[in-house]
Amino acid sequence: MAQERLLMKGTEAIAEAAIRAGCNFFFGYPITPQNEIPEYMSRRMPQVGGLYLQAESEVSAINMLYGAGGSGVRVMTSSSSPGVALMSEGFSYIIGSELPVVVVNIMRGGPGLGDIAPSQGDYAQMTKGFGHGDKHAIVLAPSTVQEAVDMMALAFDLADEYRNPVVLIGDGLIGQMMEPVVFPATAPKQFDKSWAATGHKGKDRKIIHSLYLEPEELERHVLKLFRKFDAMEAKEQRHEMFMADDDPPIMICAYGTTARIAKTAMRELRKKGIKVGLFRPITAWPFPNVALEAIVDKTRSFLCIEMNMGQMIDDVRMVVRGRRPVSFYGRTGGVVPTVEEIVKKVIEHNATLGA
Amino acid sequence: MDLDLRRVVVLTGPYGSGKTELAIGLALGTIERAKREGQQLRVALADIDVLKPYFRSREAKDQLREAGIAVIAPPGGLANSDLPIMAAELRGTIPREDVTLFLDVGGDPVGARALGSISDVVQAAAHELLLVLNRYRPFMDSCEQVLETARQIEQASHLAITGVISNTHMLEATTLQDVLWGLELSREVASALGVPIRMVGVPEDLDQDLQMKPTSDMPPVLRVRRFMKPGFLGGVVLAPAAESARPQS
Repeated sequence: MAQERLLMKGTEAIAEAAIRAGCNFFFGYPITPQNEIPEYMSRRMPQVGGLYLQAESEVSAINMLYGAGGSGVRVMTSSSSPGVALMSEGFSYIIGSELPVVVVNIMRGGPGLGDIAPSQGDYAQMTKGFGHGDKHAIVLAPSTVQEAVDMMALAFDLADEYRNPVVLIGDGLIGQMMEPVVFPATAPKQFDKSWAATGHKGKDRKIIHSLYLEPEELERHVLKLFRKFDAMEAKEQRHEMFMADDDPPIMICAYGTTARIAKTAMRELRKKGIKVGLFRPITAWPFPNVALEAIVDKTRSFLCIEMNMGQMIDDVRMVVRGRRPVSFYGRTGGVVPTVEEIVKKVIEHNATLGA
Repeated sequence: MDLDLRRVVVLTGPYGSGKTELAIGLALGTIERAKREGQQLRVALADIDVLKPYFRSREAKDQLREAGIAVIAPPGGLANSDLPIMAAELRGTIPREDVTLFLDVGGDPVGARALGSISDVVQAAAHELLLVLNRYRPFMDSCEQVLETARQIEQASHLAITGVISNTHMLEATTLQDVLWGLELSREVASALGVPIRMVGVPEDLDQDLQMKPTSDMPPVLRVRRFMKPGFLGGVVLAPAAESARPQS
């Protein structure tokens, strides 16, 4: 029995996959429902010659990422919704300073302290509002534990390739549910890190900063960053289409666990003769608008399903631009929508479409 | 199958090895057998898991209570918190000779620490402390590693392990080979601890016929049903009741 196959929680699997992707540094501060990530890191990092450090707060953790990222090593942190919010300022500094780091957000119910139940309430925070200033970062949204594993290596590669942080978002269920996982046997990719600050002795001086006091200079810097963001938008959009080959009149738009619930509901709906497909963003930013645009004409109506009050729906509407109705179903507060609810909602929705 | 369990059964072991599923399954099995045999039996399940935030046995409390099992867990909204709380009534329930009690303990030595705070009453009762093992979980690479965890669990709980439950599985993907592969490690661990293997957990939906012939050294087989999975995968947890429609619609 190969040991490479394990039964793991999403959080544990994310931690192990990060280590296998060459991440040797972890800084973080505990918060439910992601505590198994630091817990696992604290146990595994010494075994691989890496470093685990519990910071005194999320603010210091993200700035430790700045320092470690600046030295060119693979580094990550993980937190949950309010903890991630505390990291916003440092995250923006990391983008401004062009550092490759990875941040994992296992989302819980909000606003405020909210609860510790699963949520997708940070979609807007992570895709639009994570840090100040003109900036973007790739946001990956796995919907299974295995996909989270496969995405960790990708997250570190994308961070290194663009010298820009990468975020992985999972609702609490992605973090807490247990599934069989297989770890890819690939070695971490190597990148040129001649920009890294690794000591001045005998080398050129390297200063890593995000301060540009001349407005024109800062504008040039931001425009340079946006050439990277443009490249990400052109090259890094990822999505999945499910049961969409027969151009179903109704397309559900959902990501993460919600997409999985939708898939189960869709199998039931198909049995009832209702043609419904799924468009699942895998990158929440860049939003896969090219793929969505391609199905607008073939679809009669879109239904966004989220574990929040409607956040991704704005991205869908921006692509659909009023050509088709876009409606919404969601549960919030940490309540997970059921298969039955989605089936019922789609049947109601189908009835409104007419012949 | 009559396992002849002691009155207080405590399930402990590494994080994520299946203690909660077994606690629920054993409690249900015990009360069903009592009903079949026309016995009046009080069965209780105490959830003292202070580690994991989801998939705790308290989330199946409706199903358990419906079956006639008393659920001892933190009250009200506190049940949904990640605070290290133990229900007050537990200490008083353990000595009660008329209650058959299953104790679902948090994983690892950290989880066993909660057990340590009631070890005096557990020790005084007819009890068994069972170490649940799933070889497919992380940090199960060697017998030595498991023994180290077991030693730390004993230290934290102030109780001695009295038996092992071999519970190696891969959820729906479990094969008979997996079960037997896990049993090898459990045998090694049990033998090093000088305790018996009390049972082998086999997923209920494993349709491969169990070729485990009841030889003299074959432990009893316990068919394990999986309750602790998300509602959309057919589990009982993290799903609101069917009719709890969204308040405003």
